[in-house]
Amino acid sequence: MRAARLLLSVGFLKNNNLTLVLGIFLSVCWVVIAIFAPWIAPYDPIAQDVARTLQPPSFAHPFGTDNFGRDVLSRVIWGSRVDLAMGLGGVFAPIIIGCTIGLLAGYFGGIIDTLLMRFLDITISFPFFILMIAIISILGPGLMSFFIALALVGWVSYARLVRSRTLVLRHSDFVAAGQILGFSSIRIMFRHVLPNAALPVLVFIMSDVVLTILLGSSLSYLGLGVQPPLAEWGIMIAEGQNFISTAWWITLFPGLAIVILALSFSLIADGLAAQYKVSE
Amino acid sequence: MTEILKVENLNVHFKRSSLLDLMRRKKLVTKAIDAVSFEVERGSCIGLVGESGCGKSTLSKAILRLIKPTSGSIFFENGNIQELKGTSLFDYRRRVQMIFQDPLGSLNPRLTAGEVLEEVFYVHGVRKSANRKILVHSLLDKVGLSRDVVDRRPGALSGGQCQRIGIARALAVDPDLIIADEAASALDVSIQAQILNLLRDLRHDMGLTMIFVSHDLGVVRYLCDDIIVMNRGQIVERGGIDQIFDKSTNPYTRSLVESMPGLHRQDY
Repeated sequence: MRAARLLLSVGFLKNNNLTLVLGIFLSVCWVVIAIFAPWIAPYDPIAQDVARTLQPPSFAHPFGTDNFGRDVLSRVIWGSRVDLAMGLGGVFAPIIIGCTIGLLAGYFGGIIDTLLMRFLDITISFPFFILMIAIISILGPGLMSFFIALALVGWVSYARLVRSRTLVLRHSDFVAAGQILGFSSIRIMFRHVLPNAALPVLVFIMSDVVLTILLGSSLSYLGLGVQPPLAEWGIMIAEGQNFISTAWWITLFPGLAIVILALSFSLIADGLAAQYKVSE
Repeated sequence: MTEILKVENLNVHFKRSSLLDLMRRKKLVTKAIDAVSFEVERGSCIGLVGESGCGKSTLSKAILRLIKPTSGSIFFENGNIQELKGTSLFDYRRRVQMIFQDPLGSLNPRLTAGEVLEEVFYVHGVRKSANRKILVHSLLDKVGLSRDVVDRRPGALSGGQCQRIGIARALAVDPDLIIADEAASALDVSIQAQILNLLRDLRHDMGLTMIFVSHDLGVVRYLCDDIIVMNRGQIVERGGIDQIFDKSTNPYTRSLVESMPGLHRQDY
């Protein structure tokens, strides 16, 4: 798997796809930071130090300290774990549910298509954010509720994307060949249709990860996502906003972290989209 | 000789109602196949000719049970194919195969040639990977491909090679009847001849029954011993090579034969 990734990136380099390479580089950096957080972070992210509250950036605390005397740099580093898990984990269930529903609707058509697509219409007729807040309010705040709420409402884009590709692929000769050879519908859907519909989905996943992280951060900001004192960028910004005029560093650095992480995935999405056009 | 396939009074109609027709409360029906009956004898090669849109492809799809006929029936070895399900349908799938017009489009672009062929053996019960590889190799020999194509994807193969993979895939299940839908018309002329020769040799070696769908009368004359001429969803005429090319009195058949470059000339 890792070797395949490496080969892929080398292949992309040949095409001078700088966007994609830069995006992958930045994302890999974040993943490394998240994995090695305990060793990289200079301080304990939740250890309070009353003697050193609201200190501006210095050598001892490069990103300064917050109102409880916690080191902002360490909190940003530990926060990458939560935010990456939130982004990558949050899209997981929607991908599986959305792809399956899209495949079923597109491949079988008829009454199955109609039922599934009306169900989809009902889901998207509610404002996304309001629906998320409603579901999380019922389930109680926390990361798990966030994942469940996303699984319930986040699949619609994937379903539409996969369905539209499936409608085209269903009439291709290689699908007909599979039917004539007696392949099961499940085999044709998952081995022949889905892999050929996967690239636009992959591009969308990248931007969806960004949206999910932003969504998670805003929910944490509202107090519905990750709970304090756990270090999470959205919470850090929310906590820091009371001190924005005197201690700007509490909000600036987690804000920058969100921007850079979002940028890296967006770059991958753009790069993949460009790559897709090249190879088609 | 016994008949392997019998088509009886087959109709395939498509409803086509545009918004304007709906407002006029009129339903338009396209008769893609209109009261078609014929039978195919075991071991024979039937040419199905006609201009594009005459229902040739619809007819092959109906025989392959990819579309449901409006009325009429198709019998394969005296069994009505509309009544097949489960294992009997799977068995029918094994015995009737198709070769496609577009060699590249008939192969999944994400799978290598070896994966395409191995999958067929896997689905049809060969569970040991080593056995599948042996079967794939013998299949490649049969269609005249070198064994190193197994690792290549369709994009890295030529049109002729793709078509040979398509033929190999159809032969993998050891079928009795093969429907070749314009199997050579998308290829270069020199490759076309190779593929046609391959099909002819395979037919004789394996005792296959073939339905060769084509708009190219020259190709049909070369391969087939019996020809069905179709126009607007109906069978216009059926007969042997001599009958169709020299003795036909049917005006549509005559116009088709005469439109072939060079074919109607005495010195051909």
